[in-house]
Amino acid sequence: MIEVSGFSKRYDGTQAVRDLSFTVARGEIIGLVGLNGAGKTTTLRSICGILAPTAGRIAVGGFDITKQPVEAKRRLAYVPDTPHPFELLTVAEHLKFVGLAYGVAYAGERVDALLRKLELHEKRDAFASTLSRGQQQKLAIACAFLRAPDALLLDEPLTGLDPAGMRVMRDAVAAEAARGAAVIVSSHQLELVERMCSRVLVLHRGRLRALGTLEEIRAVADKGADATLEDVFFALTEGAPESPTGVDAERATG
Amino acid sequence: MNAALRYLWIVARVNGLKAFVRSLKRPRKAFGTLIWVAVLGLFVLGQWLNARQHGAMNLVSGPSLTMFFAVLLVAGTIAGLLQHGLTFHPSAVDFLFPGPFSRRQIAFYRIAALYPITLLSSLVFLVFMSARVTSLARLALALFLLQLVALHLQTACAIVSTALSDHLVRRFRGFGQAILGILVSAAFLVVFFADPPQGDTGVGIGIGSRIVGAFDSETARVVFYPAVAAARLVTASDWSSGAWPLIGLLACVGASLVLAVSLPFDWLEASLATSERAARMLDRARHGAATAEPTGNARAKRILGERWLFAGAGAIAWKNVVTLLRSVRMMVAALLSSAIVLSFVLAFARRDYSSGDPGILARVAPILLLLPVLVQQYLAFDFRRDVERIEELRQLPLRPIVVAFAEVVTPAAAVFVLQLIVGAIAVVVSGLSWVWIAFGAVVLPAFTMTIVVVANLAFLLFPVRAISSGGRPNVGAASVSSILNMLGFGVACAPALVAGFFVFDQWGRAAAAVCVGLAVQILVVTMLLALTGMAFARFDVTRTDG
Repeated sequence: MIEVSGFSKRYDGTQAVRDLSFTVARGEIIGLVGLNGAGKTTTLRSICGILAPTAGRIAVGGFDITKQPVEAKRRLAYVPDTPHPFELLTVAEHLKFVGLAYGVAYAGERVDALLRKLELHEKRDAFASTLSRGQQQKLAIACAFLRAPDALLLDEPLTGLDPAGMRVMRDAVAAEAARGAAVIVSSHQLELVERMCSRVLVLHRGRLRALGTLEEIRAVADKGADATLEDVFFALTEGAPESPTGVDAERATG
Repeated sequence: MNAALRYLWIVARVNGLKAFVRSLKRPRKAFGTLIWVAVLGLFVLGQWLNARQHGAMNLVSGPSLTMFFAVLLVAGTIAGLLQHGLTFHPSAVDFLFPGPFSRRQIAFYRIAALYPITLLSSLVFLVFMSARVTSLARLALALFLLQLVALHLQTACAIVSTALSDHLVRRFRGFGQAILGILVSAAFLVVFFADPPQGDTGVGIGIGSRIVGAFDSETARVVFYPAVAAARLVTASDWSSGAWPLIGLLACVGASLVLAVSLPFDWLEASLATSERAARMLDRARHGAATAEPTGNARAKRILGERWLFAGAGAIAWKNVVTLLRSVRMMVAALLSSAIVLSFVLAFARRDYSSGDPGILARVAPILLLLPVLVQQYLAFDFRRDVERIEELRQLPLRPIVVAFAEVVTPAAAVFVLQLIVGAIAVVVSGLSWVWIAFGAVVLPAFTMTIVVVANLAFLLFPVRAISSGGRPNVGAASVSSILNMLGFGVACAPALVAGFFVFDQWGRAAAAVCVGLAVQILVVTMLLALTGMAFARFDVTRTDG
């Protein structure tokens, strides 16, 4: 569903991402992890068409994001790390706008259920500017889930959520994947990534450091079976060389 | 327009209007809005009375209008080139950029979102020019259509500028702004010193006939065709003779819109960077900080060194001085606006008094005295910028009055330096004695300190932010605050003036009157500082209007 091939991004004299390749299949949740400045947000923004790749190709549902941007964007939903809802629109009006934009129903039982699940049903007529940070995050998630996207990109999705909200969010993402969406979750919360994701992509200084299931990247990091993702992550990123090592090119694109 | 974008456009405008109407329930907002309406009303009345008095002599000429409209077009074009991409609100970036919209649809939405503001600014120009034309309807139409052309050209230029590197545009932006600033200042100086008003004066500000004449040339008619068409529409004797200019202007609106939305540039990425920069500036303004982003490396230590002056409470003043020194643009803006006001005052004073006449002092002194009111928005490096850090300031092992003094001393000193510079310029230009500068250096600090302290006290009692939490300027509430500041300053200076006049009246000695007045003012400012300290200690950190 999501294909990234030889993707590089350079801006302001900095090579943010270098020769990155991977794919995300339907129903798969991939965790994108890396230190600050590793290139995670740049990668997500490029996949959703906000940033143009300097080199390489990105496709969503078979549509090239630079050549057929509208078709590709119609199939994806992106939830940024900091939500910025329209301050002068209510929760219901946000959903109506998204419904009109993507040609999906913005009212009815399914929408009610979605709002109830995200504990926003009582805030339906509240202006977005009056919502708490966590509620704004839930609104951004509701807008993303409303259109049942083929590809779902989540940048730090749990920021600002309370424990109950985090659980709801985890379950909802799992449900989206079960429905058939290809999901990329970028997060610093390694425990969450370990629990939610079927594969993990470790980015370091803009380069692919490792990609695979936890077992596979344990092997890359030369760690035992009891090593957590955190152990593996630090082993891969502390004093890591500039060029990628131990990554099977075939695995990287598959 | 795309159905979703049309829905977004309508709902956002309707809800914004409702929110504005609701905000009028707040007394200060209502009062501030009323003041603005009253000011505009008085201006219209003045224009109308003037028109009745002067009749046809008052009518604005075609070339003057062409020049004015051409300036609007050029300003829009330059502003676009300095922009590097289109600026969007963060919510538009989140929803529109990754959404299923083409660049053309997003560009059109961005342009359409600015149409109401364009209409509003046309109405403001209409108010100012209403009494100088024969047909208000044709003027309104010409202004609105011309501003649409300017908006479309600005958008097109902003998109074209994305073909250049961000670094280049940033460098060019500073240079371009400086050139614009110099041109505006030079225009003021030329208009008021070299080319006094004579008969028909363009759009009411004494525009020189030679400059106006240049806009009547064949070349100008081609280059500034939309401006020429708009001017001809306004000066047409009736609608039938204004039909062709109107058709020409409508064609310009359409062509410029097509150009703006059809340019084959990938401007999304540059617009993202521009929008994020604008959002950071807005956020900084909302939190009371300087809008300019800090750049380069810190050099404060080299600038200030380790001085005993900055120990203890001095640390607060040190922090404000460092911030001030890193806000050169603010200081330049303050100096520029002071110079412009001073040029007005001196121009009029020189007509009435000969060089060196002390009568000029009566015109210049109030400007120097009220300079802090004029420039305080640029130099408010005090509680007004520390409103988000009140809790941290309270934790310092200092008495509230000491904190208050440390907070206000930096802007007071900065304004005092500005007063000396402006005063020196006035002395040189008007041929006054330098003794007056020495006199000002003794008297002004107490009064300047009073204005800054009153502004801080008023802010702590009735906090108003320049930018509301909704990202809109708090114009109405800020107007009320300015009026309260002026009233507060008048009340705070009254005891010193009364005491000074009393001493002069009783003993006839000016020096004694000044000394007594100064002593009373120092006493008053000390008491106000104590009150400011108390207000700081009791300030409710959750209570900020907006």
